[in-house]
Amino acid sequence: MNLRKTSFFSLLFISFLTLRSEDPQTYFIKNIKVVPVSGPVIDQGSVLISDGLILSVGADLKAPANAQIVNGEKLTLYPGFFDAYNDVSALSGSSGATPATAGIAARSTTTQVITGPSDRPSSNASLALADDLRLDEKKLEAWRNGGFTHMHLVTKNGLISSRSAVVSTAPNYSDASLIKPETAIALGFSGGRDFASFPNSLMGSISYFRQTFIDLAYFEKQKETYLKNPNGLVRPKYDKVLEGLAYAKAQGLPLIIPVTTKAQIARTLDLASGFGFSFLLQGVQEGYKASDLLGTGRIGALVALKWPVEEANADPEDEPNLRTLRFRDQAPSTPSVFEKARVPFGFSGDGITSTKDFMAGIKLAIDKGLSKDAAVQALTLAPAKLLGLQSVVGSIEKGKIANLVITDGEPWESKTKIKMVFIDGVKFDIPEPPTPPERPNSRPNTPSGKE
Amino acid sequence: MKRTLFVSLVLATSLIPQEILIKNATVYTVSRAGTIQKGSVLIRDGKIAAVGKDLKASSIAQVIDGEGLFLTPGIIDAHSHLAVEGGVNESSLSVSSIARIQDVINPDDKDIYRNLAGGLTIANVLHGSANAIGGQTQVIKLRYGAPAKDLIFKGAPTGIKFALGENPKRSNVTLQPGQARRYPATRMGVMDVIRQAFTDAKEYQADWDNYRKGKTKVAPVRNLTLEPLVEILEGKRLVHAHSYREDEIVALLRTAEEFGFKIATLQHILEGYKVAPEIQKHGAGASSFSDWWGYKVEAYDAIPHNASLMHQAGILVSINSDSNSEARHLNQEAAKSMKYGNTSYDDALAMVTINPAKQLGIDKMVGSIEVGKDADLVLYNRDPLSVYAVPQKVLIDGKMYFDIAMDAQMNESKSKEKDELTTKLKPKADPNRPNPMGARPNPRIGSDFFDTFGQEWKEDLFCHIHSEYHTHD
Repeated sequence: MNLRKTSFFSLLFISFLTLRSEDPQTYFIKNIKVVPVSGPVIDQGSVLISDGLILSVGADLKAPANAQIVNGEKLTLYPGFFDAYNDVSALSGSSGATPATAGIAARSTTTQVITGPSDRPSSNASLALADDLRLDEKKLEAWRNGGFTHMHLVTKNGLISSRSAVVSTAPNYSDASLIKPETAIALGFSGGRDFASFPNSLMGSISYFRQTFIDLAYFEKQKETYLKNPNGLVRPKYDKVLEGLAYAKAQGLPLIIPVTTKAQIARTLDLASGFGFSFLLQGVQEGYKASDLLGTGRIGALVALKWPVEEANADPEDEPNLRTLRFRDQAPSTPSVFEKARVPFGFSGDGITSTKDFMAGIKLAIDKGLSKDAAVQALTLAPAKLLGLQSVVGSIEKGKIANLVITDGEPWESKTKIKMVFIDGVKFDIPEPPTPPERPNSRPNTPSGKE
Repeated sequence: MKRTLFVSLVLATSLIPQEILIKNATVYTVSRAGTIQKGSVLIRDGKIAAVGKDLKASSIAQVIDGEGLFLTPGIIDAHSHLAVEGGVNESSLSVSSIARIQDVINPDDKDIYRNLAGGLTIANVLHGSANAIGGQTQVIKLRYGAPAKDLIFKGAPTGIKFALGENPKRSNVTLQPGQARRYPATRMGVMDVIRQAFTDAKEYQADWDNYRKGKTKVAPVRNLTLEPLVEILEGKRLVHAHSYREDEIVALLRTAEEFGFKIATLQHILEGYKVAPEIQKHGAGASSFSDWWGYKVEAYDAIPHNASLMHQAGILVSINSDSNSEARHLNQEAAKSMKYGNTSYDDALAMVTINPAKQLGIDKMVGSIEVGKDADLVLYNRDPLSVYAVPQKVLIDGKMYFDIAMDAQMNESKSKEKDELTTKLKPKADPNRPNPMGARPNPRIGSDFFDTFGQEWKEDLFCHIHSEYHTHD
């Protein structure tokens, strides 16, 4: 692990050197409406960035001589948008399957009979996504052009995922793009689907987690005793999944657990409180019913913006029942309910492949009562806090990474254009998108990527 | 100040005894008190406070006139797969005792309400029958609307599912190419799996004993598969064993006796009539279907007289549903034992009330209309064992969970709401995708619970093939 980390930092260092030689790296953005998120809006402000970091923010700053001036008249400056949870496929190429990203695929081809929890089925905690990440430049560009400067990428590979990563959307993806190479571990409840693979039911998956985290606590204790004085002790059996989990726990990485319904939320709170990890909920679309369970900031949520809708041209015979209709109607009110109940939340792009759909999802939540301030928070600083990145990204503050976005309006309005993006202080002018032919009657919140 | 006032008001309200008087009904107590014509039952704070004639209630009591109606204890189903989310079978392992139904109770399952409407108040929710030793079972009360943890019947002993015969040996499973066959493949193997599991459990039990007595210094790691088996050995967990054939029934009883534990109930037990004396001697209860057979090879020798014959042999018999739809008329299923085998009226009614309560170890609290028991009651419009009987009101812990008049009202308002929402949410046709024939139903969006575990996983596919397709909403 240490070796990997060292190499990460040295790479980061080298890449700064290279970037620096290409780019002046000192920008003075002036006459712009600054939304720092961490503090009040500055109507006519300026921001000085240099060497990839924010140097100063204020109303009466003076541009240094070496700075390149960006005039932000009539524009707004936000912290770079942050997709707090998305599948690695949102950015990776179609042929990018690697050991860290393809745990399930690797397993389903084996004919090995799983004998129980000790086989650690579909568990990839020993792997780090960051070690083996290949991203698609076109996808990076698309997210960048939508104002997203960094994204939390997760592999939904099985029951216990590899360690997730937060990457910037800068072009020419390399290790230098990693903002937090180890961010979280995602749990999943879908194990094997054939009769021979344990677990193949929800209750089996839950039992598997319960046993594995009991094993983890035992393993940690056993190892500690052994390392103090191994002489005369039977050595603890090497278990790479427990090693990976113990490492993640020591690093303070949270678990991310997918839930939809209130019953699932209640169940997960009970279950995960015994794991010895901090944890976040992901999805949480029936959260509008569950503020009593989540209120007062105890548990954070990454609310998925792919709201439940009926497919256009759905089978007319497949009439949705009242419960489904109510869910479709009320799910987008979850963020506003969370805002009132003070549940900390960020936006998850789980299942969303375009920034337009992401923003349409936010727009719908605002229509259902979410305040605009809270919407900006959930798009920037709130998820940074939940994922342990609050000191580096999420707001326009001195010392933070210069990941910024300049727009000509509120980000969730469909007419709003992203004008410019800064990633690690490097400026990207966003080309005017070719105006697509107007689609009459097309629904704004239907994700267009997946069919 | 305001809040304190409010809290004390709430407290005060909850301290006032909640009283309900049901009067003038034909009361089937399913106890020594027998049937009381024009009888009354007084409910106070969720418990039965008095049973008799001409009971007087206090002025605050809600009075239900039972004139022309019939009151029975709430119906109890000793074999249900109700309200389970994400599959009733952890079918991968031959010993899946690690899996727990209590983890996956889905309080939103509409079938809870549907079964309530049939008079069911308690269900023993079982793991499926894919494994020699299956998952841990859970007795629930059908408190529809409450969160999952409040459906759990707190005083009920814990249980576990065993299964014998075709299902655990996988006769009905077609293996995919390359898929390994799971052991066991024969009835001998099934018994071997059980014997091996309890041998392991004894070893595990000894490890802990040695640690507790200070003989070993390091505590063993907790094994969630073996822990419930140790509880069985210690007599703390009830075994509900899915079984069909006489030979496997006797083999299981012997194996259990070898390890010093009892089988609480033999489930299905279609050939139980052939080995009734052996079952009676072991002390196991029998929970059977009324008249289903022939749906697989091991079900060919079933007869509808089974329940009556076992009852006559002195076995504690209940009639179960193993199904979401049958549980809605378990009263009629019980009535069939009067036709086949001349079981008495009272004994037939007992087969879906006090007998399953005894089998589940909850008869001190429920199963009959007696003072001190939970007020779990069903008010029928006709004689409860008649095919025309329809529950009018169903109470659990003295609280109304189903009322046929309110249900009609509710349906009206719900249907209106549905129409409104349908109009509101209707997507406009997308001219860029003009292919309605190619459209597929929308998979439920969100967590992978919904995506992975569809309806096909909800019922115990191994258990029986008589289940109707049932839309889960």
